[in-house]
Amino acid sequence: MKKSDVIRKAKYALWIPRKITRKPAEKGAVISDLFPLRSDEHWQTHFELLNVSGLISGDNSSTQDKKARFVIFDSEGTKLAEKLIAIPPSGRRTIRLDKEFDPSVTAASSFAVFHEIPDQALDIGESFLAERGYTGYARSDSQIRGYVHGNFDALAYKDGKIQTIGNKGILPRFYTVQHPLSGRATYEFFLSNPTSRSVKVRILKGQDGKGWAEVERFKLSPRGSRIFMIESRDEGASFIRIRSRFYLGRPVVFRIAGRGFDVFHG
Amino acid sequence: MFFPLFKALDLEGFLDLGYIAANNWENRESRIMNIYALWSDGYCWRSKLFDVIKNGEVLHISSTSIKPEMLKTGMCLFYPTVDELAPRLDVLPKDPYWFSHVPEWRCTSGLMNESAQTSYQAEIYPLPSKASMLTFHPFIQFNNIDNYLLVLNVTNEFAITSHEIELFNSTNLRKHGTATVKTNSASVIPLDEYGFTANDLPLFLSRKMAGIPFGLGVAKDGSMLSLEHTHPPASLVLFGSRKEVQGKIKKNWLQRIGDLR
Repeated sequence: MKKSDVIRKAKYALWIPRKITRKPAEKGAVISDLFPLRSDEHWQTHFELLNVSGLISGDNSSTQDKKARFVIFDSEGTKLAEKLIAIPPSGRRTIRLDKEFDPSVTAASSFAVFHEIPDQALDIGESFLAERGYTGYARSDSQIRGYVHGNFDALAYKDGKIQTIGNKGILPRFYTVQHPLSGRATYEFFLSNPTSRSVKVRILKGQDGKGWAEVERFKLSPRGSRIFMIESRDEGASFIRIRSRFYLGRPVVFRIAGRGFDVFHG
Repeated sequence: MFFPLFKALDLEGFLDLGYIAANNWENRESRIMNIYALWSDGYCWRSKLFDVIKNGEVLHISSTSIKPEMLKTGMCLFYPTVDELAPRLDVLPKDPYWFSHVPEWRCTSGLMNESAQTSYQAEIYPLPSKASMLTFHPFIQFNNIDNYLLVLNVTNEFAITSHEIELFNSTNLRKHGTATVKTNSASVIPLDEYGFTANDLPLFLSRKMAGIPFGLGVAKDGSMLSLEHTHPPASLVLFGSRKEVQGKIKKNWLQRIGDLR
């Protein structure tokens, strides 16, 4: 092994935390992703509310008094509003966020969904109930919703307190979005901060043979989030690299082309 | 680890394979790689050198650019290696050259038509040949859309075998019907004919075959496509013994469904 590789591995063995997510401090806490919330003249956000504790126990018909706490945040991670929504007795309820949170939704950037655990304890041992979610996005001119599941576990909730559970390291590192940007399209990348400290982020764009060039830099507050945009033209594939102290600085990607769009976690 | 190219309906399948690691500490591979196509013909795994790729390059592969026999099962796997592979194999090759864990090394795999494309970040590991799949499917949409269940399966062995998948309403456990899925294939099942409503959460159960289940939506006018996979039941919890919890969840549901059969 080369000397530089040994140094690199030693450095990261020392400084990279082992887990993307920290265990919640409180036993009995519930976990949620921090989902992108898009609500304006172009976008609507829908969430598929399911009976998660019923899915675990194997009885989806038992929904009496079960609720899920929806919390919406602005781009600085400040809580804007929260609402308890009843778990549907039918198995699935598609929640339209702009209808539930009008008018505060206009300033929102992300949301979380914390399920209330029923009185009778769930048989999940030392595990924590988690909402990894299915969020559907629609544009004003799109016929159907594009779905994406949760990107990574970000927040834990217990007794009115919200804890960030994402990890970050001491050294900055790269996360290269593995999707090559190609074709004529607008790319929008949603990046959130699931950690308890502010994090500086640099966005780099790389193209074959041209190296990496910084296109944007910003700071994300705890629970904060931001969308940055990259235009792609028919000039070959390019990549986006995120430099930060996040252990996993993975964005949700929206690729908009024509009347349709594609959404996926990067 | 393999990268899947799949085809469904009259849509074109595509795969964007980037030789670029997602992070800067796990895998520093930079050798020129052979990219092999692998597909099962039911008698063996067939392999063919498709291309070579240099570090930093991207390979765009379309279902229209490979021979139809390679996509007869609806799915063809792509595998980067520095080795040469024999044209016929009894089992899939095992050595991973592109790998990482935070996150997994992935490609972009999806479907497209003249107006739209949909994709997910894909990698696929062979599944046990004796396993089951239980999944909840919240992706059915209504008005101006056709809904499908897409199931990808890969096993180390080359056999292509058919198995039943049962479709239930997860709340009242009413059985809406059955369909067929196949190993080492991409199976596509039209969902609109099973009578699920907007507030139903369908439960799909394949007792003898594991798979990766996707919801595929196609706007009737073709202007938009949607593709996303569901999580396995283990993702309903975090930390602790997730595998054990997954086992309990499956057992709970199988008991209830079994009780009502």
